[in-house]
Amino acid sequence: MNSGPESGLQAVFIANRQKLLRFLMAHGAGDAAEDLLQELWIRISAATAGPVAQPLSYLYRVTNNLMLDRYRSTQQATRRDANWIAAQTSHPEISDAPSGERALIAREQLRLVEQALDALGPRAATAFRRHRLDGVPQKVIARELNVSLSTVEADLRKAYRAMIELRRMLDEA
Amino acid sequence: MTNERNTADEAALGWIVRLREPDFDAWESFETWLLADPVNAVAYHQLADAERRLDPLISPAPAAPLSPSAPRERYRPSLGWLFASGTAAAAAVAAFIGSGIMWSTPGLYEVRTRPGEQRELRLASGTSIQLNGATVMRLDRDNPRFAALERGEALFTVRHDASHPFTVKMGDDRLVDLGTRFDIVRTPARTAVAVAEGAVLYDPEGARVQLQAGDALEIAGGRAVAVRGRTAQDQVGAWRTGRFVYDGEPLSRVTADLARYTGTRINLAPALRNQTFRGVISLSASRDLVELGPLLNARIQRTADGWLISPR
Repeated sequence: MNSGPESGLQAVFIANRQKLLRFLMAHGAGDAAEDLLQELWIRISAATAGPVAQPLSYLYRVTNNLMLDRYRSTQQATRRDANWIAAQTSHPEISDAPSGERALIAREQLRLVEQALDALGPRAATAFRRHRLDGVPQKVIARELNVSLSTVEADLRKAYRAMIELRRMLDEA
Repeated sequence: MTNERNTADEAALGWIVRLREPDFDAWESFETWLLADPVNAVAYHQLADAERRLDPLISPAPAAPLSPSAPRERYRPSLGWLFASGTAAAAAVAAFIGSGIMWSTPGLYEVRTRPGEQRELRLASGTSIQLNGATVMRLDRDNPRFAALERGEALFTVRHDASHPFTVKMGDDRLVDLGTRFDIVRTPARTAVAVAEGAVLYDPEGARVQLQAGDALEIAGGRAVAVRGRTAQDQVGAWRTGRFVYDGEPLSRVTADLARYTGTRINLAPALRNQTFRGVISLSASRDLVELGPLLNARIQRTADGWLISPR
């Protein structure tokens, strides 16, 4: 079927197919697991760039992302159905707020983010900013703040919980 | 019951935090946790999905404008990723200084590709630049470590030289390589950078934001927003082989990419402009777009001057 040699990533995929399948099953992929593996194959076949440093870890990560993509599209499909029903009973074209208003909303959101971060206390807020916004590795943050890695992890859990709650609150607003 | 759920949530947050580290490799422990209780996967999916959607929340608003005279290092935007690319005044100052240096250089020359034409440039510095169609690039004979992308798309493979960093100018924005392969798309409205390998430094004189492999940067409306680790590294520059990988991009962007690559005119019905697409487009040698109809869930017809994509 394939005349040319497979890329390194494809070879790693073939060698670890069962492992990745198990990982998908652990995620609860069920009947969709084989389709998702197929999608993974397509994604890595679209690859053109050079070698990946940790190929198996990379494949796990892409697989994990596929599961989350799938979760998102199921959620969206559910919401679309709900919106469609709503659209039948209300005025159409109300979804797009003018951009001025959107900018205002964005500014308001930013204020809420800052507020929620500040409420965590200075260490957790700093850890989150360094991690999420500056992209600094957690080990480095631990060193900067002179605390253990597990303290940084606990701070980040706390911060993510607060941010996710805010996200949900805004989703529902 | 509620308690059990809280425990799962707390553990899921822990995995979200750990998985965000680029060198995370405890996939089997993660799997063991997922398998321990079906509640775990449910908690993880919900929270990880919300975590992914934090990006627009955390980087939405226009940053405080930079005053052109203010020392830029002083300004550390409290919400990272979001740095003002400057007010009009700052931009004008930058453009003035920038162009002063640039146009007094006699070695400057321009390379253009026609729509649909792809070509590779090799610079004396050991750097190669692959140009997509409809691209305008300015280069400097006297300085092989410089390029300015005026518009279009280019994939840079840079041989790193710490003492002579390679600089790419994108309008008023600058990018300095730290040993790299990266792709830039530039239209009048937007500049997008995606890093495949190594790292680049955005705005080296100002915000100094480092972009690692997998990171992307969008500059639009005077604002730059970095997105960490969202681009699969092997998808950067996939256009060279006629492959285009999308993860929920609007069709308007998809058709702009196809038009640049194929060199044909593509009209997109306004109703489809914001429809999103996720998947891989692989153009056949014939570059016949009709076969993309089912994939894009749209009707594709040949017209006198190109293609029309309309709702089914």
